[in-house]
Amino acid sequence: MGELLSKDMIADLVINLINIVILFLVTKALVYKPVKKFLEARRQRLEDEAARAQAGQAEAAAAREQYEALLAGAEEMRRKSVAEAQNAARAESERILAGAREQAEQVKREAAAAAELTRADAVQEAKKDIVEMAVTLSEKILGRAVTEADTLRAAEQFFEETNV
Amino acid sequence: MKHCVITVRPETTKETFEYICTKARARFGANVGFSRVDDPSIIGGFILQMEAGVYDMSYSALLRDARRHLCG
Repeated sequence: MGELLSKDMIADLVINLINIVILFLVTKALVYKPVKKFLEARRQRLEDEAARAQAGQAEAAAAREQYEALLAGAEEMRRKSVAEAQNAARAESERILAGAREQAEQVKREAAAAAELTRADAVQEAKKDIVEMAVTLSEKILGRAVTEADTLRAAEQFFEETNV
Repeated sequence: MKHCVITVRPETTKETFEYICTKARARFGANVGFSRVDDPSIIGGFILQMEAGVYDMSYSALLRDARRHLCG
């Protein structure tokens, strides 16, 4: 052993060991710590970003739920409004139809009454004309046909039947 | 003395007029004077006016009544 490792070699070995230790210490001080710090910061940043993303997702989900609730409410309101508008329109149309029917009936009644009045007037006029014609004709016929006997008969009838 | 106006158509004979007067006298009494009015518009029969009363037995009156009855 003493032949294999001379003093120089042992000195080299020691120096090398010291160099390695110094290099380790220097490397640790100059590289390992900053890298570790950098990695730690990166990990922290990623965790923060993940937490922010998760919070954002939760916020988005909440917003989405709120939006869907609003949408559902709006849809419900729309359906209600449409139903109310339809009911109102139906009621209004029924009211208008009923009014129109009533007006039509009234017009029909008035027209029928007017027609009946016109017909009655026409019948009355015709009756008057016929009577007038008949009386005129009777006057003419009687004017020619009346005899003394008729006058005597009228006198007899008057004095017998009346008590003046 | 009462006065009675009898309206007849012009064609009425004196006999017929006298007949009416006789009947009227029998009904209203002997103290009645008569006068005759000829009116062709009465068509037939006679009209007897005695003081305030008028007894229209003319055919024109009959036709007038008929016209009123039929025409309303």
